[in-house]
Amino acid sequence: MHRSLNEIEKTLIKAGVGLGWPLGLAEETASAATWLVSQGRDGVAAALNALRAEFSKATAERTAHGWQIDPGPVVATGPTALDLLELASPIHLGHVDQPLLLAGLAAMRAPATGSIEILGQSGTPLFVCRDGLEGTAPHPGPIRLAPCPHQSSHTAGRGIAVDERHWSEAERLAALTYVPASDASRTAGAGAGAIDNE
Amino acid sequence: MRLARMGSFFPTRLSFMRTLIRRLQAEGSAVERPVWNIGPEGYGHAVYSVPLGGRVYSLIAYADPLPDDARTDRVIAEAWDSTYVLFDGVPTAEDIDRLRDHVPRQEAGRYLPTELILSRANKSVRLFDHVVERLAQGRQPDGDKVAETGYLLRTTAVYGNGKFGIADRERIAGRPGLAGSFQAEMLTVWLIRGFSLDLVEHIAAARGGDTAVPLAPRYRRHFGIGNSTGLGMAPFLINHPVLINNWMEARETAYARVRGQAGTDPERIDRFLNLHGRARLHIGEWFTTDPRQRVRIGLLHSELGDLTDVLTPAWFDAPFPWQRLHEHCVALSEECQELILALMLEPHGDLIDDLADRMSETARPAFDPTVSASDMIGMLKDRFRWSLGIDFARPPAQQLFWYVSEEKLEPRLGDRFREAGAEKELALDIARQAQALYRTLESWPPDTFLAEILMAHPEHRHIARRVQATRSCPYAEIQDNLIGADCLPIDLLRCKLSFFGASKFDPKSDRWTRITLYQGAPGFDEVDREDADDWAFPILGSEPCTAP
Repeated sequence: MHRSLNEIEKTLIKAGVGLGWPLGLAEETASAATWLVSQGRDGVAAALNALRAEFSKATAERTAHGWQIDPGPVVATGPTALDLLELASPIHLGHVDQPLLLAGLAAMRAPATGSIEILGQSGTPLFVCRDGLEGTAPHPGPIRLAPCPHQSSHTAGRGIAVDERHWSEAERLAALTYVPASDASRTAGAGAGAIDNE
Repeated sequence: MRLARMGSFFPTRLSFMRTLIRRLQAEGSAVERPVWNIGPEGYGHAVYSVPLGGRVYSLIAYADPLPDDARTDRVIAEAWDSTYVLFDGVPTAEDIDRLRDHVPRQEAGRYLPTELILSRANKSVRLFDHVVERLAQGRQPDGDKVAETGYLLRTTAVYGNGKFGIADRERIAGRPGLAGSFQAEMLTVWLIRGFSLDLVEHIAAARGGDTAVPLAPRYRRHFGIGNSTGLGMAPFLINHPVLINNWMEARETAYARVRGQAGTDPERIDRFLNLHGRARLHIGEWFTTDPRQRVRIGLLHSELGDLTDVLTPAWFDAPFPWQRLHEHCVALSEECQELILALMLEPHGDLIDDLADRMSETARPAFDPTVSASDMIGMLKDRFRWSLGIDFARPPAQQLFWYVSEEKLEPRLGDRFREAGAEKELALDIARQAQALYRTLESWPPDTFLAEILMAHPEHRHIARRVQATRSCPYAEIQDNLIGADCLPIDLLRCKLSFFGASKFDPKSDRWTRITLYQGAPGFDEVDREDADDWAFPILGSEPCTAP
């Protein structure tokens, strides 16, 4: 079924928060997923799979060859890696569970970092810029991130049909942020009182 | 930007309804009604089409029977007297049939990107039937009743930007005519207003036959569209800091430009004084049962009267008359200061109207993780000092919590110490978040990169981004504690509604208000007149746009 980009983003933010992720990380995940959807990629599934990982903070170590980020959920390690990419390059991530989502996160940062090369174990890079991505997302595993001069020639797609199973799951998770109704909240919580029909 | 100030705003010539009407006027847009399939009791559907910016947009209106006991303005309603969709283009009969199954169900329906805006409205129980009855009898409605209510239909929601599958804002953001803030929403409401007038005359004509008369022009002009607004509007102001900054910045820039004029001319003086007199009458027609607002209106009326003695020709002959007027008003109520601001902007369209083009930008400034802890502390001290002194150990400082109810996802406000659900509160506690970030930053070496701090404290990522945004967006944050016991959400509502162009604020509680939109605005057959923009502070007794 057709979903608007705004619906997708807002629902995924709530899903992330509902699953216990800090708001800032949920927002970046949702923005990345929405951007992927606008490119014709299955950003909703990538985000849901990533958000289902248990919340943990990213940890990293500075080495002689840039930053080495320990394995962890990409919802936390992705934004951290891209933060650190503005300080030093390259960035090595020990394990990325959802590389496609990392590509979306990279696209959100591309205005500041320029195009980014995402290199997995296969050795075939995925190039990401704000306007699109070119190549195939690596398989889950170690990833190397680095700025690159490559400019994507990809033309943005506009696919925003979302798999209904994924959408139902996203809405179920978003509902974790809703407060159950009560008589008190119904009457006083919105402030309308009983005088709204005259 | 403090809540008390925001809660005193009035619409100005930069308000979005004014911008739209000027655009329609400049283009000479003529509204057509290609479909009128409304029965004698007022039920059925109609279509209005209007060209704007090189495209055509159409309002599809569905009017249905509604039992009185099912009529409520709350979000939790499931049926309405009338429902609407703004369609991108001219709908086919198939489009109208398809949407017939969805639009009357509003949130429960599903939509396509050809649908731009979704809305619904209820009749004013106090006025609608009275007007129909009078017109059917060949008489005009009671003027006091018209002045007291001011509208025939009252919208209870106007949805845009992708809600329920309708078009994302992105689809129209670059289009001439709809690129400005809330222009598609404002167009929808203006068309609904025209429908409300046609509807009441149609029912009266069916009921009264040859005896029936149309509404007198002064009433057609005076009837606006009512609106009931609750807390749902409040989180928007906090969740769109860049947009709000741009609204405020345009307003403040306009005010500064006017105050910076070394002199003025007779035409502007006449215009200002004329509007000052009209505003006094307008305030006299501002009815509310809210005790707080009644007191404010009383004081405002008195202060405006006192100003009459001050605003002599000599006042305007001296240098910088507008700056001196601003300084004179500092001693008056904030409500009066804001009204004078609105009046001062009116005669200066040539000086300020270009600012409206800058109000719709939403792109956030880039996040910079390379700044140091000390840099971030500096930003907090510079832009969030207002938040750092709040003692959140005191229960009243965090008495309230904002949340989304599972009941039709209605935003609500709860008491943290008396109600369940605080663990699911929305992140509108900006002051508390800023303080927490400040404490964390202080615990790190000053030259630590923000990137490293956020790695250890991802819970601060959201507020860190907001803090950075204020470097280029100084009006992005409301500088008050939004979870404090003394927070009045009604102030947030009035601020946003004033930017729309709403008037006659009629609070029903501290978190719910009635307003009127487009009161005094030109109708479909008047928008191309030379004086179509002259409808600030309308009064029933006058007709600002007389017949050409």
